[in-house]
Formats: sequence, structure tokens, C-alpha cells
Amino acid sequence: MASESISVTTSDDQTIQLSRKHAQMSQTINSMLEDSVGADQEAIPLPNVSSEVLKKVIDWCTHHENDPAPVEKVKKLNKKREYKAKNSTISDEWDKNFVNAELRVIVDILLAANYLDVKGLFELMCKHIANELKGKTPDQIRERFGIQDDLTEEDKAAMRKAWGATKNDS
Amino acid sequence: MQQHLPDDLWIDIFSFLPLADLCAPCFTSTTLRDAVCHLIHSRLLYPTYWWRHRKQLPVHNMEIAEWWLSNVREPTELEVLAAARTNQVELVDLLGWDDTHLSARHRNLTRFQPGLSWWDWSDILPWGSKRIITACLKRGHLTGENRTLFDCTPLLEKERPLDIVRWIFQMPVEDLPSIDNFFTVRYQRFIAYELAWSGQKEAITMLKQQELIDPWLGNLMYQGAGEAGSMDMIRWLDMSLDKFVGSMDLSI
Repeated sequence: MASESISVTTSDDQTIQLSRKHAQMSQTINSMLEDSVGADQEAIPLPNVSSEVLKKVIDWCTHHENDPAPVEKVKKLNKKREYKAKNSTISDEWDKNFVNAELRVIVDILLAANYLDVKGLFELMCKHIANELKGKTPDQIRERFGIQDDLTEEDKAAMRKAWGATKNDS
Repeated sequence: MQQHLPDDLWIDIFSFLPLADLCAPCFTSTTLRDAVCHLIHSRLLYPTYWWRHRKQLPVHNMEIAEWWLSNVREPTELEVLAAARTNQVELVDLLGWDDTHLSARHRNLTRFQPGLSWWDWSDILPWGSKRIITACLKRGHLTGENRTLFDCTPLLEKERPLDIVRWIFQMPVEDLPSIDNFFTVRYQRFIAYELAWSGQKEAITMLKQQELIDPWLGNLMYQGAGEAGSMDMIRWLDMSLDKFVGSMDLSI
């Protein structure tokens, strides 16, 4: 019988115990477990995740452990030729508090969720950053996310033309 | 922030942003611009023609609007109505209550007919709430000579249609200035028709309680319900109106 907890080793050489339920919320760990069936139960190495961030991930998994599994939606082209964005509303109060953190922490959790393939957490972090971007000017985005302006004047002129008014605006 | 996001994650993040909010990232860096372009091209059936589509720019606050006014283009009706819907009077002031202040080139590009302003206060007002209505009045637009321009039916679909009905029927409403010589009896009859057409029983009940439903108004309500094809509403009017309209003399 499979043990109820799994050991993982983080990038800062900490060994952390995960419940099997939480481990299975990560597609990455799940795949590693499937690959290692019958092998000696050694700690699973997670070289891209620090213990601090993994604890955050576990907190999120604990809160959402009884959520229904996310359904993979088939990507369809928008036949109306109108751009449609995904819903960025964060409705869960606990999630709202969870994302109320420094941007450095948010980005670390996003990277961890991406690496560990925890879909719900990854989506939550993307939503939060998307909401942060709303209403910010390019200068403010660059400052907030430490981005260099490498656009040439020609690039900007092309974008002005692309976002310019057309006869269809009326 | 020292930790940079991998390029491909920006696409996932941008997928949660409406088109208007993808404008500023396009002017931020080549990475963000390319992520936006990739996303748009993957989401539309005919991405090649995307640049010709209607593109609303963001109106979250004054700062972002001032940025695109200086760096991208002049406003269109899309941005002005979006500002009105979110009750941003200062932003509507910035973008303009009509298009007459815009450059000739922009006006020519966006106007449906040369010489005909593409938007004015009468387009903005129906989408705003009490704050926009009050600002519109203060700017001198709600005068008798302008009344024919104004279709307030979208206001009746907003959160508090009862207040709007009270206002149109010249009853006092909190946070809404009363206006004289603007809503005529004819206009009120039109509203009565609309209320029945859209099945707004609460507003009709309020008008009954205020004894404002005369036979003509009642007749128009039946007409509205009938033209909406709502038997339920006709039955409801039958049950409710006779107590207030009395004989329902439809010969007027």
C-alpha cells in the first residue's frame, strides 16, 4: 500500500513531508510518483522550489484539497471575430487574502505553480498579476516588473498605428 | 522586482486581460508586445484583420487615459461610453461630452457621416448613473430644446430603475437634481410603454400608487406588453390596473 505522505527536497535542501492528496494536486509530482512505482521511496527532488514557497503551495493545496478537479477546456477559435478574455475575478475570500503578498512572493509562487503544474494555483497567480496590470501605464508596468524598454521608435509607431482608430470604431 | 517572469508566462497572464488592457503592455517592451500579439493571433479566427477591429483603450483611471491620449490616439465613442458606464465624470470631461474638440483628421476617420458628431451627451447619459446625470445637467445639456435627442431606456435597465422612473415623472429622488421643462407628458407615456414592454411591474406599481396612470398611460402599457408578446404582463395589467385606472376608457 502506498504511504500516506511523500517526502520532497526543496532547492534549499529542506526535506518536507507532503500528504499524498496534496502531492497529487501537482501533475509534476504525480508523474514522478507514477514513474517511481516499485522503486525505493526516496525524497523527490524539487530543485526549482524553495521550502518557503513550497509551504505557500501546500497552504493553497490544503485550502483547495476538496475542490473538484479542473476540467480541461477545449480551446476554440472565437467565431464572432471578437477577442474574449478569461474571467479574472478572484471570488474566493481566502484566495484574495492569499494573493495579498509582495510581488516577489507572488512571482515565486507563480513559477512554482508552473513548475509543479498545479493548475488552480497557477491560474490564481496569473489572474492576480493580470489584475495588477489593469490601469497601469507602460512606465508603471516596467517599474513594477523590472522590465527594460527595448522598443524602438519604429516599434512604437507601428503599435500606435495598430491601436489607432479605424473607420470601424464608428 | 528582480525576478523576471519567463516570456511564455506573460501569455498566460495576458489571457485574463480584456483587449483594452492589452494596449499598454504593447508599449512596454518587445517581450510583452510579442506576447500580446501571440495571444491575439491564437484567439481570433481572422487575426490578420485584427488591426482593423474596434479597439477600445483602457479607462480605469485618469492616468492611463492621459497616457494613451498623449501617446496613442484621440478617444472614440467606445472609451467615452466605457467611462460613463463606470461613472467617471472626470474622465468623461477629459475625453469630451461630444467629438467636436477632436482633430479634424480623427473626426473624419471616426464619424459615420461627415458633419455629424459621433457622440454627444445624449449617448453618454443613458449609460451613466446619478453622478453622470448630475454632471450632464450642470454642463447645461438637459434643456427642453435637447429633449428629443434623449433616449433614456438603457437607464431603466440599470440597478435602480425605480429612481429613474420617479425622476422622469418629476418626483423627488435622492442625489438626482429635479429638472423642469424637460420630460414632457409625451415622454412619460413613452416610458410607460417601455416599462410594460420590459415587464417592470415594480415601477408600474409605484406609478399606480402615485396615481399617475391615466387611461392613456394604461393604454400604452397594454400596447407595450402586447407588442412584447407577454401574456403574463397583459394578465398582470388586467389584474392590477383596473383598480387604479377605473373604467380604462381607451377611447382617448
